[in-house]
Amino acid sequence: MNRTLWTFIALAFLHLVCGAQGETRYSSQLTQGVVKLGDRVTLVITVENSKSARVVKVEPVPGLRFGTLRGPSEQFQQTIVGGQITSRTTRQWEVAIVPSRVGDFEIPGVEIEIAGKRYTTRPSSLRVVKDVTGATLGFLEIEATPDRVVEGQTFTVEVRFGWEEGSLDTRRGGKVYAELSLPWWNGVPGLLEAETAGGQSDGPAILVNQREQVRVERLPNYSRDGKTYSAYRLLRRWIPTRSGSVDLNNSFFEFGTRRDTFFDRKTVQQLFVGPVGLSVPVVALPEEGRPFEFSGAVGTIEARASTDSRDVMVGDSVKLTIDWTGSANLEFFDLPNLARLDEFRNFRIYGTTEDKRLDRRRVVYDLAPLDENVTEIPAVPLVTFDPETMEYGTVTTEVIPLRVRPLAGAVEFEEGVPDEERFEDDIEDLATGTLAGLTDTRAWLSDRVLAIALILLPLGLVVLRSTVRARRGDPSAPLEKRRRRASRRLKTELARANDPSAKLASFEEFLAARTKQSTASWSGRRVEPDEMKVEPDVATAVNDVLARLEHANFGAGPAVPDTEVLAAAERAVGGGL
Amino acid sequence: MRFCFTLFIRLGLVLLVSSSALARTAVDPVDDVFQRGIDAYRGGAYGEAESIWTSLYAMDGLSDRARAKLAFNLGNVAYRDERTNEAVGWYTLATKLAPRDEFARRNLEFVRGKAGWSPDDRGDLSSTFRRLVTVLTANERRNLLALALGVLVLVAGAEILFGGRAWRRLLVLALVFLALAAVPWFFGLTGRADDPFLVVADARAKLRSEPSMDKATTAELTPGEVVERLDELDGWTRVEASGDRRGWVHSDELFSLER
Repeated sequence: MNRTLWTFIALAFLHLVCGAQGETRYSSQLTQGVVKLGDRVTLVITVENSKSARVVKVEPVPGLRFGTLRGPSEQFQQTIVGGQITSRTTRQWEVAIVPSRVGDFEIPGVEIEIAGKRYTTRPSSLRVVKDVTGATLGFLEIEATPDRVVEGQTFTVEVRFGWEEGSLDTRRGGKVYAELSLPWWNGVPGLLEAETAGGQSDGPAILVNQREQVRVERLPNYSRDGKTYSAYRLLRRWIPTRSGSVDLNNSFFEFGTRRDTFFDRKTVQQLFVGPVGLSVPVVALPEEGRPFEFSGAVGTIEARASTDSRDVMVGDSVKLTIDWTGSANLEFFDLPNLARLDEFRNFRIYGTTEDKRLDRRRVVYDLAPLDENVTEIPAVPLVTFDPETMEYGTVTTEVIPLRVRPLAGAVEFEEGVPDEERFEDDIEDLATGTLAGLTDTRAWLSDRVLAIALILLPLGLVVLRSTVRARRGDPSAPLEKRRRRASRRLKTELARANDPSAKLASFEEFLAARTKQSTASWSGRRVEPDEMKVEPDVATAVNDVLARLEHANFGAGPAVPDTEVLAAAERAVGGGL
Repeated sequence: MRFCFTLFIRLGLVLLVSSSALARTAVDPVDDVFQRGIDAYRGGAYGEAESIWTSLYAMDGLSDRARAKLAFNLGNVAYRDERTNEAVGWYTLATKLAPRDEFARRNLEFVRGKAGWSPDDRGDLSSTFRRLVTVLTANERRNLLALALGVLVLVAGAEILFGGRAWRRLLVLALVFLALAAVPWFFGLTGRADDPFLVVADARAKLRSEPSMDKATTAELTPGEVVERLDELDGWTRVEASGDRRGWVHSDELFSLER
């Protein structure tokens, strides 16, 4: 009694501490996609791996009568793989649906609340027909390989279907059509979809569940009871995640002929085969003899290892590539963690990269030998379960010889002693050197002067700016800029001037710029000392140059040298013009 | 005239070269004494090294950088002599005199850890700000502010004379520079106590209402706390700490940070 209790408590504790919930999934599915008028169909709403979930709303559909929502029914399962506990919870609700008329119906997605968030499942399609006939003209077979699996083992479901050759009415443009109603096609609780091998991509496309175009594989014609059938097939691979049974029920194959008219498409012949079902028993992985390091790999697996180099220095990177191949759940098992393997204690493991394919799992480990005494890369074990023998086993890679050369001039570490124990922190040693040669930065100003300057300087600058602006206006105004540039411009213009007229014009432009007036106003004008607040001798000198320039231009006077013009301009600027 | 100028330059060069050569060959007496302290320390005579460096530290005319070096070495002496709390005091002093001395800062944090005190630089926002504004010495802070004021005057003058958008933008930048330069200077002015002391007691130091063991304990001081000295009597110091705590404490439990 006590032992049972303690085991339960330990398991509960483990569940709390390291229990992991699988990925949350939700779906809504009809138990069958084709139903005879008057028969009943059930909408099953499933939520996996969630602690709290509820169905918010099931939208009504005209022509279908919905019963009350029943449930949820709950299932709980816990597995321990590689020391990690994984728990799975499945909740299911059911709604009975009775169609009241013939036709195709789309049942909208069901709104579900999972852990406070709302989700909507995919919509489902339902075809209601008067009668389900045609089993003698066609066939539908569903087969699982293998027909009995263990948890985690991949299995393939093959759907074969076809119709008797010549049985369909293809006169007057009638075309043969085929559709499948497979309620389990998009997932069944407790199954993970695995990548499917090719084979169904080259054939014709048919409609599955009235919404999905899927390419099927054409098979050789099929003979049964003396009749010949056109045959096709579909494949899908699954991995069961829990024990029990996987039910793939209520599958229908619809076929017949249709004729395209100008306005629409008319069904001439509509035949059904079904319902067909399949149940695949899933056996739990045996607890007895299960190694702690079990990776979750189920199937027949082979391992092969190779390296990019076999002659390296201590610390050099070596890429160890391992290919696991075979018929197994290669995409889903946990990789061996080399850092936890004692055989790899003389290696540093930097990381892994991996590539998953249907028939191969390739992992590249980046390793570095830490010691020149390393002579080989040890075998990498992978604990697997073989469903054929129903036993656990270990698949190992081959040991790969390795030459590790010591680093030139390397210092050996004390083996096994961590850095924290080998080294000790201590104070920095004495400061030495000169004392007398050390000098300090001298302050340019004392704190008091700085404090005064910090207050008075900005104030002074503000006052100065206001005063200058009040007296001279904005220095960036165009007239003020023209005034500042007048001397420079005169020099440039004089250098360019070829005749007395141009020289006179440039000097007049200079005077106009300095007095902030127009150039035309200076034609024939003279500098007035009183008006322009210029010293009389400066005014005389400027006027003299002005008169000589005019004489040279309008009369036959001698040309005025540029130096004299520039000198007069300089005097004018210096004299307050 | 030209001859005189050339002669003057040549004479100057000769004097400069000869003086620097002399400086290289002659050993300053201060350095000689300093070296004797190092020799004593290396020989394990910590007491002798301490006495030499303490007397050097008290000498007039030494630069702050030289004092920082001495404080650092005195910290090493105190630590080796197993006076860890006092070593904290010396390293605090060294970092105050030479704020960018990483070795002093490292030793300070190390001995604070050994003393069981919290780190001086806690790595939070407040510590980082304090570290940023105290990365310069007092004189460097003054010079930085003076430089910022000079730049402001130049840029403002140009803006007054020439106007224009470019000068206005530069003026804004100069004002920002001035504000940034003023922060450490202002922090240095306001943040320093007039006569700071570090509490280096092993446990909480008792503040008493009067300088006597018989008098009431009015408050306690935490080791590593900085307080301000108000008065001193034989063996007792009157201090003021944050939170308006005032009282007398044993002088042995304090370390002056203004030496």
